Amino acid sequence: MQDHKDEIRHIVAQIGEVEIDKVGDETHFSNDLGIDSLRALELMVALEDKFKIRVPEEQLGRFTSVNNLTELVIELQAPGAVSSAA
Amino acid sequence: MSKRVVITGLGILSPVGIGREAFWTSLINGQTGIKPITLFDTSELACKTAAEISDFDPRVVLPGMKTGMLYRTAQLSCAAAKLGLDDAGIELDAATKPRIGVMIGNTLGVMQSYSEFYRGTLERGYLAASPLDFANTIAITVAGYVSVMFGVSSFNCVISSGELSSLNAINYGASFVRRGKADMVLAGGVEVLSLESYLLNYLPKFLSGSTPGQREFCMPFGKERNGTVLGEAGAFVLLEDYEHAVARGANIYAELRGFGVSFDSHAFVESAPRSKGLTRAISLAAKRSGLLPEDIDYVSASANSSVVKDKAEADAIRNVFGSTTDRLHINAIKSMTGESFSASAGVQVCASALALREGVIPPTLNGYEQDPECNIPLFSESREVKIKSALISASAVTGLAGALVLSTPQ
Repeated sequence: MQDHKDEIRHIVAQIGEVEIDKVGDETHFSNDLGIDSLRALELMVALEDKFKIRVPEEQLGRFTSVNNLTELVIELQAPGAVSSAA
Repeated sequence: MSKRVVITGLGILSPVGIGREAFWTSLINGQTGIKPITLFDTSELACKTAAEISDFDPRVVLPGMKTGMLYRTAQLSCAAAKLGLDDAGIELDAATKPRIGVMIGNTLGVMQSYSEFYRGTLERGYLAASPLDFANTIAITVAGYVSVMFGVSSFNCVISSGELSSLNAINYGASFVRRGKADMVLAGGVEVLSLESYLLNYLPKFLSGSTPGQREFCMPFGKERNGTVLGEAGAFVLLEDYEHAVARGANIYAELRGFGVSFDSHAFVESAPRSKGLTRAISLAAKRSGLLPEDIDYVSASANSSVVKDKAEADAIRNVFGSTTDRLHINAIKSMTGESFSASAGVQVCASALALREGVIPPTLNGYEQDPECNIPLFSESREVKIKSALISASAVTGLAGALVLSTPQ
């Protein structure tokens, strides 16, 4: 889980164009980092590519913090997850 | 009643300098921005030089803004907007933001990002496509990103008309101010160098040195000119309602006086007189300015070392100004800045606004023999001379031609 979290933190920093130490577990993407809807989509594509998953659009509302994304990625990687592209 | 429109800010990033002061210092000292190309590989091309903005770092001009994933055209566009707003001393707040519009001339801006996006999509599949990169393939985002980054929301628009783009954008942008639809408009042009846009000019042999054995040299109105040298730039002016500018104590560079545009549908007919379209555009601009041709002191020519267009422009100037041509101050700054296509007239407008304010006219960088067929007076050192009115001309190979008259406000 920590590996996932570190990977996600790195991706968020890169796409959000912020220093990695500004991205805490509960830092809010929109309110604290200025990540807008277009960048959230960019984040979705990057996560799909990195973790070999397919994120259903209705899950975009969970793109708010590293903790929430980590949880989502683990769910989608679980065997039998309907959205898994692996 | 129609409002008067003035220029109160300059946002310029050019191959001879970033920002008004660096740009102006280079121009009046005759320093060229043409140098070996570094933005892409030229090893398989006969041409090796262009006027690049080699020291552009968006993080320096736009600190704290998220511009890292924008394509270079949009980065330059946002940077030119920032410099223009700062130069004009505009405070962006709830009152000003809805009253500022964005009108940008750009033609080839997404060419490189479009190519890269679809190359990647074809190789990796559409599900791997980057949404941010997709936004970089849409032409309107050159203006849209400016609106988003600065929160200016009156309107935004992109005008694509080649070398005429900047003049058309300034004229169209000014019409919003004249009618009271906006207090201020960021208007001008932007164009960047890329391998894709370079090949567009290289393959039809529009570029100097593209034929083996030719010397690669930008020499507007020169006897041995054999094509142009490309450049890149972001060149915006802040247009403002005159009363609004006076009320806030703004520094006014110049007033927009007259604009003329013409299209010569015979531009591709070999035997047709090439100067017809530009002659008409210059005449219209002078007439609409309310000035007589003899009231215009300075002409900023669009000559870019093109065999056909330079001659046509010299003829057009003489057609309009007749016997008074020889008392005009005429220069061709593309001898230093290169041909930056959609941005080029914007660069000329910025230089002309500074010439009006500073009382100095930059030279045409020479070192070559003038073509006797281009029978207009040129000079090779900066001139200190107080001028009252400047005419900026622009013409495109497609037959489009335009001219704009600026004056010191009275």
